[in-house]
Amino acid sequence: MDKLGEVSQATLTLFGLSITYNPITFLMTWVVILFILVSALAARKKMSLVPGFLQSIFELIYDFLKDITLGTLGDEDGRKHLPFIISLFVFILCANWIGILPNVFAMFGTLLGVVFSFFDSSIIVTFNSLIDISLSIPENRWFSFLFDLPAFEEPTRSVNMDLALGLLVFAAVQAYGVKNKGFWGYLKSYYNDPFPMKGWMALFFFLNPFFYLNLIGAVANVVSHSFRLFGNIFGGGMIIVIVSSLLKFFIVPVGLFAFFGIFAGLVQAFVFTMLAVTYIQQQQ
Amino acid sequence: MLVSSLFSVIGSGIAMGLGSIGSAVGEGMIAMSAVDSLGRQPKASPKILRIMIIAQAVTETAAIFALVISLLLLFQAGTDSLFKGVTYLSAGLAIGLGTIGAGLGAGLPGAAAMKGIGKQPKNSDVLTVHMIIGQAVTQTSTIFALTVSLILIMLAPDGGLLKMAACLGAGLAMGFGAVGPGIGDGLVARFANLGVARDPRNMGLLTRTMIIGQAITETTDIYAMVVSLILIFVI
Repeated sequence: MDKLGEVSQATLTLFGLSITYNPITFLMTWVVILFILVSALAARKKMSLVPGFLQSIFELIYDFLKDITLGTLGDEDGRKHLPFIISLFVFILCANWIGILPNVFAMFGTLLGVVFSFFDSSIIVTFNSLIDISLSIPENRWFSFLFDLPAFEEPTRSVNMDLALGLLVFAAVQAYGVKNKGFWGYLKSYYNDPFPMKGWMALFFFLNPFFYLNLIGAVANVVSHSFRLFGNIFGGGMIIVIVSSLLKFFIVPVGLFAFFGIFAGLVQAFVFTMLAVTYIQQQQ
Repeated sequence: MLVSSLFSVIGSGIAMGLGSIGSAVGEGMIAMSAVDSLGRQPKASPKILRIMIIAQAVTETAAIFALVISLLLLFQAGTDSLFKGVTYLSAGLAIGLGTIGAGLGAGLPGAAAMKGIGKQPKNSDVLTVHMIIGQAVTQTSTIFALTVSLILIMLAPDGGLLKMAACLGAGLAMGFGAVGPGIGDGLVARFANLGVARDPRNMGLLTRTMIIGQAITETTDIYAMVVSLILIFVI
């Protein structure tokens, strides 16, 4: 439990600037990307009219999101945004679900330690109760590296990843607004909404309180959009880590994983995607 | 040492104790409406049950935020500066008070959606999507409270008596400031959901109006956040 509030950090020196980053988030993001890439390629390899297992999962996600996106944005615009929306959903879903993989390496190491304690007297196993096992393993055993490997941790648990996703959606929405309404129309939406300022009055847009309100509202959307995902995933992950560490990573709290890992992860990925669709709809 | 630990433990208790009020009432409202709908449409029971659980899970977000801050504060006990103790107490106050409104508010659209599904089960897909959007936007106020709490927890431990009082004020401003907008947003989302339940074809119009209305309702919440950030960083 002493590792709870700890965030792993590494420092990288690039062109004389020292950058601090979280290596586990970095690693897990690439694991998620590779997983999506490999499963998508595998699903594409054997495409058939009667879908197989992988293909039917992808078709399920596609159909579900296509109905909602086309229903909200209309046929033409919806089709344009569909790849972005589906990519967001699939990435966030996989990123949220990677945390339900238990700390496999530490569990495997504990099991090996228990087995080897019968042959090796320097490994001491203490059974405090049925579920509370403490191990003391000397540093130089061949399997002690298993305890140093990173646990599977959701990339979305890090606020940096969530802010990056929020800013990505923000940039896409604003770019679409400029493209759809034209540059002046886009600027007008800030001071014309909800009270239009016509003719020469438009020169005094800075006197309109709604101009500042719209400006702050656009930025506050990014904060609420990304911190919603962060708070939920971070909270769920924290509860799972606390309970698992009380159980010494030996017994998996299945109910908690099912609720906070699978269910809350799915709901939050859907909420994030739906809000992105709604923000795009507001620029129409 | 002892005094600061005391403050952080008290903050932890305040965060979780106050933080569970709103969500609990909100989830209760959803379950109440679901049971009412079941009495009307016993055939649609799997659908009603599924959507009830989704709505309750989204409503629970506010309580999970309070739990996060509460646990963070619990493990911070043992810090050695009085200033950090006061910031921990303010963080607990901010998230504890800040979740009351959002928890209650997220329950209102959920209850309305359950009522609508009870009247017309075939609208359930449209209503679920609309309900989740409404609930998610309702939670904005508690997310601001979470942001301010996290800033307060990570604040560097330097400052005098005035800064301590300013941090306490920031926590109170954000906490009380988030109560009203949460409930107000929930009311907007509730009636938008009732409108969608009446005629799903109006969904686009209703969603747009709902989000504009909620954005303006949230203005007071943004004032509260701006004032707390000024109190934390400027004074």
